[in-house]
This record gives sequence, structure tokens and C-alpha cells, in this order.
Amino acid sequence: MNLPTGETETQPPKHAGASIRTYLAIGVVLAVFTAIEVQMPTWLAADRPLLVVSLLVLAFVKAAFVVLYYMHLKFDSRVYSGIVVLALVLISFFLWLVSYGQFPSP
Amino acid sequence: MSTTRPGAASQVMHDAPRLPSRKLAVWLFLGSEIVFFSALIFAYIVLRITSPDWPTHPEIAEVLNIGLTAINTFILIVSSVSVVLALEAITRGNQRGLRLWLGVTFVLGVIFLSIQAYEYVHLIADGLTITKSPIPDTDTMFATTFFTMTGFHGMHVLGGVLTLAIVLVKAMRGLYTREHHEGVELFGLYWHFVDVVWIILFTIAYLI
Repeated sequence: MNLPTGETETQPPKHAGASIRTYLAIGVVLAVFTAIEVQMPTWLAADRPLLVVSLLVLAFVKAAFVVLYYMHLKFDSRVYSGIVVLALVLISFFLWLVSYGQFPSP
Repeated sequence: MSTTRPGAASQVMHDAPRLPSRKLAVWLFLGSEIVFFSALIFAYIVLRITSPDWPTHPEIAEVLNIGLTAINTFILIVSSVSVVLALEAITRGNQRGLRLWLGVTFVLGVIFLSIQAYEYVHLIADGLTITKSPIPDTDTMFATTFFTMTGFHGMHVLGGVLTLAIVLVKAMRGLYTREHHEGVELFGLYWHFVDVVWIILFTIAYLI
């Protein structure tokens, strides 16, 4: 396929990843979720626990889309996923250690 | 007759696919960044829960410009899309597309930083600093943690923009090709990570 500048676009080498359409669709989803998030404090002002849970779920879904698709973690070597998991496990363990016994049970 | 023969274990190691070392290094770096930002966010949450003088969300919403920051969040999301499009372009050998989308990302990154700087100036002018709070009957813990979290993130964005300037110059010189464009991919990983951190920070600091 010839581009307007005269360059010739070649077929990409076979590499793991989603299509451009998928990437754009995810971008739209992220933008829509952001718009919903901004309105949620108004919609759920009377139910704060539901508001907090809903916002956190939306945030982590957005983050997951970026990590899995934009950062290619879904398609790449499991070693990279392992690094992310290890980091989360390490920080979770450390935070549990420093906060153990600090918060009395209800 | 040869007396050397690789053992089974060394043969397995020899045949195992090797990970690109630079990409592995970037992921290890991002792993350390996950630990860093998780600790910051956890500290914010703990201080918020335990501080008796933390402002309520309506009080926070009056001080922070949530609408403007939402626009900034949108800008960062779009910049992630443009980075992905830049990488897709160079995997097809499309040099013009690479430069275009990297340029778009650069502009969006600068806009993000400009808006954040504008926000900081106005927050400080309104009295929200690490030594005083404009919200009655509250201490400075909110301001301190807010500026720490968003400030560190802003510094990471600045580092990303500076790195992108180098990547963009190399792209303008045609140094990336369909076969060799690792620098674009590695920059993209860092930039997307910065976007992920902001997604979490925006929710926790501005909306909750």
C-alpha cells in the first residue's frame, strides 16, 4: 500500500498484539469510564460505600485494560506478568507486615 | 572423535527462548515503580482513615478542580492511544505515522504537565500548602499527601516527556525501522505505566 508521502507501508512482522481497531475501542472505553467516574460522586452521593467500591472497580478495570492491551502483557512472555505479580505480592506482604495489629477489629 | 557434548540441561538452556534484556530491565524497573507508588497510595489511605481532621469529600471537591483534572485524565488516556498507534505504525514501516503519533504524544504530555502546573499554582494561591489548609477545622495532612502523590507522578511524567523528546528526535532521523524499534516499544511501556498510575491516583485523590 502506498502512503501519501510515497513510502510503502509493508505488512508488519508477525508479532503478538491486538488490532488497531481494538486499541481505539479500548481508548473509547477508557474515556467513557472516566466520564462516568466523574459523575458518580454526584449520582451516588447518598451511598458512600457503593460509591467507593464502584469507583475502585472502574479504576482497576481501566488500569487492567491499559496493562493487558496497551502494555501487551496479555500477549507477551509470562515472565513480565510474573514481575508485576511479584511486585504486587511483595508490596502487599510488606504493607500487611507494617499494619498488622494496628487496626482493631470492629 | 569429539569428547565434548552438551548435557541435557545445558541443551535446554541453549534452546530456551531468550527474553530481550532491555525489555526485561524495563519491566523490572516498572516492578519497582509498582512497589513505590503502591506504598505512597497506601500511606495516603492509612492517613486518611486515621486522621481525625481529614476534609470530607465535598470539602475536597470545593478546593480541587475536578473538572479540569478530568480533562487532564482524558488527555493522558489519549496520549496512551497515540503511543500505541506510533508503535503500530513503525511495525508496519510507516515512518511518517511514527513521527506523527510520537509528536501527538509529546504535545499531550506537555499539555498534561502544563495543566498540572496551573492547578498547583492555583491550589497554593488558594491556601492549600503543606503548612496550611484553606478548609476550616482540617490539618495539612491532606495537602501533604496530595502534593506528594501527584508531585511524584508529575515528575515521572516529566521524565517521560524528556525521554520522548529523545525518542522523537531519533524517529525524525529515521533511526527506527520496521525491524528495529525497541526504543519506541520500551518508551511506550513506561508511558502506559505512568497513565495507569494516574488512573488510580485520580480516583483515590480526587473522586473518593
